[in-house]
Amino acid sequence: MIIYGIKRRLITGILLSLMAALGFGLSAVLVKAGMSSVSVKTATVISLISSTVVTMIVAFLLHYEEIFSLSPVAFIWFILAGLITFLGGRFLNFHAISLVGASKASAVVSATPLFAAILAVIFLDENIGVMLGIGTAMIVFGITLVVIQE
Amino acid sequence: MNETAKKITYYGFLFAVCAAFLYALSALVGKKITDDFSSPMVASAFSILFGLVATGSVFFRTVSKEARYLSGRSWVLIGLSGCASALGVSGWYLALNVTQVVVVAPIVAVYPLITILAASLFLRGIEKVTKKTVAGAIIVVIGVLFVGFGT
Repeated sequence: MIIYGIKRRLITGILLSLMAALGFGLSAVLVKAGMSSVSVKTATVISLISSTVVTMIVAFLLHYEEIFSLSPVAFIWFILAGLITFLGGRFLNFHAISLVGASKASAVVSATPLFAAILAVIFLDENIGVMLGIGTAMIVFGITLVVIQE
Repeated sequence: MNETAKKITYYGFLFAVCAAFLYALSALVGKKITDDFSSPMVASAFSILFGLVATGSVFFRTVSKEARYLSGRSWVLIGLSGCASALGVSGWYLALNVTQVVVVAPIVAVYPLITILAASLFLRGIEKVTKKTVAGAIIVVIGVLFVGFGT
C-alpha cells in the first residue's frame, strides 16, 4: 500500500514535470508565432495578463488561507521579484526571441542555472565543485555552438 | 551575413544572456521569499501580478496604441504563450510538492529541446532550426544538469 502511494506520487511528479517542460518549451514558440505584427512591449504585457490569470487561479485554489495571512513586507519582495523577472527578464527574453528566434534564444536562456550557481557562489558562499566546473564548460561550449552559426 | 544582420544577431544573443542573468537573480530573490514569507506558488502568482502592473505602466502608451489593431490570431497566440509559461511555473512547483528535485529538475531542464522540436514543426516559414542549434542546445541541457547536481 505504501509502495503504491510512493509510485503514484512519483508518476504524478513526473507528469507535472513534463507539463512544466512542455509549458516552458511551447511558450517561446507561441510568442514567436504571435509576435509578427506586434511590438515586444505589447507581447510582454499580453502574455503577462494570461500568466497572471492562470497562476492566480492556481494560487487561490491551493493556498487560499496563506494569501490572506501574508505580511506587508512580503509584498515588497513580490514587487522586486516582479520587476526583475518580468519587466527585466521576460521583456529581454521576448526581445531575444524576436531577434534570433525561439530555438536559439531558448538554448541561451536555459543557461539560467549557471548564472544562479555563479550568484550563489558570490553571495551565498557556496563552493565550486567538479560538477559545477564541468557543467559550466559544457554550457559555454553549447552556447558558443548556438551563437556561432556561420 | 551583412553588418545589420550581424548587429541584430549580436543584440539578440546579448538580450538572451541578460534575460538568463535576470532570471538567475530572481531565483535568489525567490529563495529569500520562499524561506521567509510564502510558498513558491503564491510568490509566483503575486510576482507575476506586480510584473504585469509594472510592465503595463511602463509600456502603457505602446500597448494602448497597438492592442486596438492587433489581430485575433496574435491575441490568441501570445495569450497562449503566457498561459504556457504559467503552466510551466505551476507544474514545476506542484511537481516539487509531490516528488524530489532530482526527479523534477532533469525533466524540466529539457525544455529548450521541446522549443526546438516545436519550432521545427510550427515555425517552418519563420525560423530555421540548424543542426548546430540542436547540438548546442543538447550540450547546454547536459551542462545544466551537471550544474544542477553540482550545486
